[in-house]
Amino acid sequence: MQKRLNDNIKAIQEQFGNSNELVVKNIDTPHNKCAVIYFMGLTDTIALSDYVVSPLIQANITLTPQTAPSKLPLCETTTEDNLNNICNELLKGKGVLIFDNSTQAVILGIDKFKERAITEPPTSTVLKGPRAGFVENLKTNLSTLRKILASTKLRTYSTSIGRHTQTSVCVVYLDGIADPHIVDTIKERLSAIDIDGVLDSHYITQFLEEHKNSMFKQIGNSEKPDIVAGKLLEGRVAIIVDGSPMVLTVPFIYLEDVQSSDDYYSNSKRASFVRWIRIASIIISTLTPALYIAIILHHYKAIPLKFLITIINTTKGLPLTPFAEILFVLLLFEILYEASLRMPKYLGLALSIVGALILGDTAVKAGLISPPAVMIVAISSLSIYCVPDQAPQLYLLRLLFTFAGGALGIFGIISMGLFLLLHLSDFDSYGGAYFAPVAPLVKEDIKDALVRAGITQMKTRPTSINKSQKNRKRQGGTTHEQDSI
Amino acid sequence: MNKTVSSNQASLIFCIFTIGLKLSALPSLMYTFSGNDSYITCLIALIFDFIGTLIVISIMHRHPDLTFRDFLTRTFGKVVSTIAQIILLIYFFGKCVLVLQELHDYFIATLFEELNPLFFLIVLGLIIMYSTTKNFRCIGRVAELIFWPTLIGIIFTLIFPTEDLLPEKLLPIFEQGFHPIYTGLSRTTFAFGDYMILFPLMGHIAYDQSSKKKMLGFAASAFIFIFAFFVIFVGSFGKYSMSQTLALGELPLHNSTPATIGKLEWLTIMIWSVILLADGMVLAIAGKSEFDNIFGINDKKWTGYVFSLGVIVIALITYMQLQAIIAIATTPVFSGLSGILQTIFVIMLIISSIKISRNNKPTISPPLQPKKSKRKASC
Repeated sequence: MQKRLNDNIKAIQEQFGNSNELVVKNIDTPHNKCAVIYFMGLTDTIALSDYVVSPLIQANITLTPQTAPSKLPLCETTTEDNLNNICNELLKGKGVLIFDNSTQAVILGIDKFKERAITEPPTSTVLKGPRAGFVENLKTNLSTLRKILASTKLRTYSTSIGRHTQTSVCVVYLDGIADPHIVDTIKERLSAIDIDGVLDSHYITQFLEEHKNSMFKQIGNSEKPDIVAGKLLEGRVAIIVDGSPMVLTVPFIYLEDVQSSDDYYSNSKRASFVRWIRIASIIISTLTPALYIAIILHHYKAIPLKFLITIINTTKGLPLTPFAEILFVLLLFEILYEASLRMPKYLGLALSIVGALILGDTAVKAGLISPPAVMIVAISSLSIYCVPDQAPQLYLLRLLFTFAGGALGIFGIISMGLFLLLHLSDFDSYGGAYFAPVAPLVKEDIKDALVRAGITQMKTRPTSINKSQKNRKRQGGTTHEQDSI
Repeated sequence: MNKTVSSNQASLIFCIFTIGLKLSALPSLMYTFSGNDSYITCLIALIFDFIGTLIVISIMHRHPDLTFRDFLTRTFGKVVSTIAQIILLIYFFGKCVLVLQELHDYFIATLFEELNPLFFLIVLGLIIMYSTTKNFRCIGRVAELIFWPTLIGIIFTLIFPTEDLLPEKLLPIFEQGFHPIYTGLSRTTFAFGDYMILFPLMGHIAYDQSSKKKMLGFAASAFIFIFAFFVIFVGSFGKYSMSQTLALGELPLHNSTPATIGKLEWLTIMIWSVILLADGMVLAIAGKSEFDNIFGINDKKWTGYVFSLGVIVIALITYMQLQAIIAIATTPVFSGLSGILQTIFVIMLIISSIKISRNNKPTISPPLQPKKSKRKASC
């Protein structure tokens, strides 16, 4: 920074290419000249007028960067003398107060971004329980988490990633519960990221994954603060990315996606039953088309005669082979899925009817595809959305198994299944085995894995992901000083 | 092998290995040698196996950090240790080839696969090859995952055919004295000696307070299941047992319960296919492990590829020659040698254990800890 006010203003304007959005407000105070610089649309101009400009104009003493912070009725103020840092603060929506004959500037915390309201996230709807979701603003998300986890042990570590976006990324964990080694590893990996820009948390995911070329999910994510808080209490570490409502959590184990926040807000027996339904739906979604095609193509001799006659009657005269037919129907469903995501809402109803009629009725009546094929793929597609967090992987797995079943029959399906089990059994996500607590078997953790035991029975944290601070409760009941359940 | 295996995983690996190859060609083969006494022969062989397993597991617990190579090197020297490991490598190699052949025959018999043999065996071989890029920890986890469906398959395999079990088909026993039993025991040694799979696992198992009991419990359960299978097999087929060359394929289908015909066979076929394939994977990983130990290689993938390629080539050469292979394996010379080697290994381990215990302070198992022990291996 220079001493002369005009030089500093010019230098800052040049940094931003003399952008019209950069506003420079010169203020002639009774005793000194100064200027406030800010970006249009990023700052709270009312706060700027009321808490900065007016006091400056009305000040009856000489203000300097050292005295101004204590005189201005603004909570967030710091001083800075590095031009690059000042520019970065401007980009974050802060205001900059520069004085004549001073190389220091005052950074004013008057940033105010327009953000959407906290609503229920579309990817995690619940019947009972909290409906708040994360938004795109990191500070809001952090404050939402702090509201739930009112603990002195909640720690945050912030950094900026992205050469052109300078996206704020915050690592959140509970000190004494999270594994310090995992926290350090994440900090190291985040600091090693060198990228143009980070637009979403998924950009970070790919740098944090341990098996970069695998299609399988290795980092947990959630849009709901209560879910993230629950994971933090179990010893996981959360990563919040500014601009993204999806918060990442590590370590990740597969059964996390089988769990739902609904499970904890309803009866434990019902929750246990529904978890098994979800596990069954994973198997149904991936294997049903493959088994159908394997039996039709390779093992028809082993099918009971009555069933075989039914299948023959429904598939008689079709132009496509059973394998091609299944692939065709799978493709149609993929197209339907993509179209339903992207079509304008006002066309949604009409196109849905068209899609359903074409697939469900007209194509079958025209003899292009058979009813069993449509039914099989429909059951499989519906089952995928019992575990929506695994949907991208299940779509691909379904296709892989269909190819395996079509090419090699039951043998192909079994081989593919074992191949996948072998592949995934070798996965570790930050020390957590992928299929824990089933493989390796951790008996203490089964109570919140395949089943959902009552809250009063969950006295220990899962050791599959966190081997320290196992106890959730202290002896003799609960008090407000305890960590929490 | 750098990763640690839990005692639960080691037990399940042992069970898969034990059960895998005993239920295919062995029951009919045993009947050929022992007639109606075949299940008695099986019982005696399993008792010997259990004793061997008990000894090996006890030694492993006494010296939890020593590998098989360590035991033999310290007591008998590097040369003997290397020879022993070469024998183990050949043993695992041979069994892996057998598994591939039996799996192929099993699929043809039950699922009516009519695939080109080259294609079929190569696909099997590729799966085996991929498994050699993993380790025992990995296959142990797979075993834990498939354990419960396997248990269901076991129940279905045993329960439904029991309806057709006729006790009179199991009798008479000892009709020709002890000679058939002796013949059966002496000619089928290659199929037993299941404790050999524990040798590559030595020094890599994370023990806790109950691991010895757990491992022995699993071993005993596997042996009881095999014995029960033999009883039901002979009791169902009687004198026709000799011609049921693929027992695992025939017995689940020999089921007259109306409600299950055409339905449950599929379940058992799929589950047993998984077990046989998992058995092949265990053998491949064990073979690769021995290969690495012999040549002092540390966890490189290419050794697994070499091992698997060898298995595929031999499997292709011996395609549809399963009966011929079995005929060679059951010759008095081969069987005798196999039995002697299995016994020698156990004796060598006993001697090593005693010598090591005398020379050093015994490396005892970790001190007894409460069930929620602090020492947790990365299993």
